[in-house]
Amino acid sequence: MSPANSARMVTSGERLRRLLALVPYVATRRVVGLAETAATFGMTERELIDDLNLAWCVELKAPEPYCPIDLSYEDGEISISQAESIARPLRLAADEASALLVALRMLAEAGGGDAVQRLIAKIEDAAGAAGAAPSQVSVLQVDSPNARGIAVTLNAALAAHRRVHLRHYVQKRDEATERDVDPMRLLVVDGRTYLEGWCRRAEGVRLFRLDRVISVDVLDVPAEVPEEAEEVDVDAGLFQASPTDELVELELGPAARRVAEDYLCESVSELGDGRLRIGLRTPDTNWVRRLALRLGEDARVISPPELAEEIRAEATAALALYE
Amino acid sequence: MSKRRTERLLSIVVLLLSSRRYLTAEQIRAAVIGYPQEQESFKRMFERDKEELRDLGIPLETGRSATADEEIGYRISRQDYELPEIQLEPDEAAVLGIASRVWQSAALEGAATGAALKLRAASREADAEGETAQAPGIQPRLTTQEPAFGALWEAVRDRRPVAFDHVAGGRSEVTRRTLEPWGVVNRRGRWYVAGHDRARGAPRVFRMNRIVGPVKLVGPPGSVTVPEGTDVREMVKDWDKPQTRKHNAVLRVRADAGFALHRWASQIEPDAAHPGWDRLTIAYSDPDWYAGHLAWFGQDVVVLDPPELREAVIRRLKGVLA
Repeated sequence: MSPANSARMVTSGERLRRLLALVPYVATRRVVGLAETAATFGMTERELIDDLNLAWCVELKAPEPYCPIDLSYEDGEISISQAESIARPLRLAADEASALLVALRMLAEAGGGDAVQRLIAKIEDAAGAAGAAPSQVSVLQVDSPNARGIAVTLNAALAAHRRVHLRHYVQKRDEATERDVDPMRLLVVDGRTYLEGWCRRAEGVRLFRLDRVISVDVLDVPAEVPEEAEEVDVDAGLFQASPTDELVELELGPAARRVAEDYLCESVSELGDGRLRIGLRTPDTNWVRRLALRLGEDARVISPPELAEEIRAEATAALALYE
Repeated sequence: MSKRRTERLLSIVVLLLSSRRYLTAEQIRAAVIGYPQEQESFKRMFERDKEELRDLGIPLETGRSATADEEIGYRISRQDYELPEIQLEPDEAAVLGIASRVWQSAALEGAATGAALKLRAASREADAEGETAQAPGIQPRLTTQEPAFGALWEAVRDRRPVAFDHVAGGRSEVTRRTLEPWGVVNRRGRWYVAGHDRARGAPRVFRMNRIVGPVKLVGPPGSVTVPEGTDVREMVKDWDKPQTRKHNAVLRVRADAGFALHRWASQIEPDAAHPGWDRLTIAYSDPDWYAGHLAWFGQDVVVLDPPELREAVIRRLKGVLA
């Protein structure tokens, strides 16, 4: 969590929720570092001390006045000698169990390994009824079964810091390429798994969709990811169109409206009768040509005119083969 | 936000967890610091406090300790409150860290992080050294951009029917739907809700980005029953692809192109009559979809059989020229 996040105001409910985890966290450990605890809970040390003071000040008046929580902090360490009835954390709420289990199942499907499976089993056990809901919330992995096996191999390569040799299908050009890649991490975005790595052929960071990897060999060579290699900013979207890329405009019939949802469009406007006009930017118009062939009469490339002409030429040539 | 309110709520939790008997509102007021003298404002404040505690998932029970008691009281059963014993191995704790960063929505990231903190609070073994070194190098990301997501997630969780306006794919008119939601599923980055459509009297799947306007809850919690054996994943998996039986196509494909076709073909042989071309046998399920798929390869493929697939591809290509 960023400092900006932790500095925001919390409601009394959120603060209580945090305290009911914080007290057991310290009680379970007896003595724990102030800085480490603050980092775990995503708060500043000042906020942590405020919380500790609040817990320590709790006082019950009846039947006999007493202070149920006794703790101290000094020299950067916290210890709790008395946590009374709140020494154990509260059960997982349905939302908490669901959110965590959905995330873990995604990790498991991406070949996260044995630890993920063990953790899922333990949480399902601990969550009880709250863990029943996650079966109603799920993320489909749309990778092919083949990709699953590739993920396992790549995980091993990542753990051992080894270079890999990939045979990879480039759909836009309908061809297979061979290259050596130094793996950086696996990403799972929109139900698909990608290898992010330093491609030694392109000398840059590249993403490889695992279900388009034909084969992978782990080489007996250590991976060397150069310092200038920067991870893709996943939150900004995997494939960012550049404003300098060519603008392609298409008109879509009602049967092809989905195209507007499937591709990142710069503009979408209704033309009436269910027809749409979309604009998108791409550095490589090759795939637009193929998309237009696939859609047939349901789509029309408006601009650039050269691309529209190229598509007509391709369709004419393809039709000639049937004569 | 008020520090005094947090103190008061924490006091109530500690008090009620320590007590075996049900404590009445008056007994709670006597033990906890911070309630006002005046009866009406005490009542209002106490009601709000109870609600807040229940919202946090604290199992506040009501009852009477003895049949002679006139007033109902409150307690928190330790067994219902406490997270069961759990011990995490260091590698499991590392996985927990990755899992709590998967959700890209503030509410669900908060929920996942909250769960992770509770689990770490309960387990000492979670603190071994070298945590990051043992984490698998996988980073899943899950976004929830659809405005309808939050309401539908809650409706599924609380088993409540919903009503919403929906625009079907390929159309522009809006229809009102009433749904008993069974589950939400993410497929290729998009969220879907599956359930029983009351007006249609049948199971239906809706893509959330085609829901317009607010999702309204139209029934009390627990009023939706998910039929035994329901698999919402299966419902969504083939939502837009009706399963048909497998057909076989015979294609002529340029030997140095149509890589994907070569890869999936069950049979490949050079086409003796056409040097530089292969003859491929390949299975497909949906003829309409497959015709589009083949047209995509342009002049690198010719469909030889079956005739209806051949015609469908020719129709697409003519459509481009129309």
